Amino acid sequence: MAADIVTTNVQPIEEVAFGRADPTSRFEAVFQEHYPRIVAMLARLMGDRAHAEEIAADVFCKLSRRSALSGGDLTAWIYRVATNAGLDAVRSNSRRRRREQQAGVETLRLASPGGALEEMLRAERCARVRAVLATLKPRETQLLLLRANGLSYRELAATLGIQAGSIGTLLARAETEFERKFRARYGEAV
Amino acid sequence: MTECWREGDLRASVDRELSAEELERLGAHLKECHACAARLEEIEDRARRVAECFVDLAEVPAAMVAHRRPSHVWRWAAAAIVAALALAPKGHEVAPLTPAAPPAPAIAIAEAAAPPPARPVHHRKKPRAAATYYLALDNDPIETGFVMRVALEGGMEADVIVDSSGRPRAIRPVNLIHRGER
Repeated sequence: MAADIVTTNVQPIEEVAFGRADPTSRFEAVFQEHYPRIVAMLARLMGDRAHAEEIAADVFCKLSRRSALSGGDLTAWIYRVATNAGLDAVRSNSRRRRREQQAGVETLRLASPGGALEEMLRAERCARVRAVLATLKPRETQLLLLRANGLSYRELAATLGIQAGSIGTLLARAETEFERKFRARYGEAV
Repeated sequence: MTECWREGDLRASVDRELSAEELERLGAHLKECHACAARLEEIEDRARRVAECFVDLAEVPAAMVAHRRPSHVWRWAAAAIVAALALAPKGHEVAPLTPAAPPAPAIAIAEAAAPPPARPVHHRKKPRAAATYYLALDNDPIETGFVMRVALEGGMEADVIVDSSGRPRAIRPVNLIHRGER
């Protein structure tokens, strides 16, 4: 399923490009640096680490086949494709998510009755945050998730292919938008 | 009065992403500009609220982790438990569950009413009190199932929830405090 999702989000081939000299080692370096971050970002977004790893692996798999490509937009491309795939998964999996949450609540109820209510509320909060994230612009979602992962502004700029000087503005805008959509959707503040 | 600051720079100051020199200038400006001070406070509060939303996302609770297929070990255990039940169909009367029990097809459950085998069965015991809670063996939802009390090697007993496909889904040990009571 992840494969289908990614396929629909892959950008035109000329947009992405690997360096000239040694595409394999370049790919290796990009993978080493960004794979864990992408998995962490997607796991936050989707609440499902195994699925996050699946999608991240798929993105890199697609990337590895694009041997003739180059450029600084490479990481931005990877994050964009990964985020879009993750958002698609969030939207299309809402039914499965509900079922899993019910299962989670049931398991918790059986295992630890004391913390069950708290855990259920937490799960509900997470579901709400993810639902709102899925309605933001992909770039805003990326910014919020990666910032939550602890990336500095410099790293965010390099990763997303934007000016470091505009991160503050974009972040402030994304946070305002997140709160506004949360309130519009759930009628209460975050 | 010095020039007012852009929202993006105020936001960056919250994350300490301005240079020392910029932070100093901002501090000086905030002393004389209540509007910017109020905006900064608002931006800071919002950033904190939003960040708190993302804290919970960091940890994926175990129960919500993706579905994992049961391991072969459990398929075999399920088959073994079904076989054991087929041997001891009545109440809490239990048969020893041998690890070498051959895998039986799920339809063995339907045959549970068959005459008991010649195999020696434990003496009838007073039912033991069980632990209150079941431990889930996987993260999949349990829709339908039934509880079986099974005997394990070494005289231990456990209640196992088996779902309609014969897969063991949850287990609880039978309280050992009551061991030996008749």
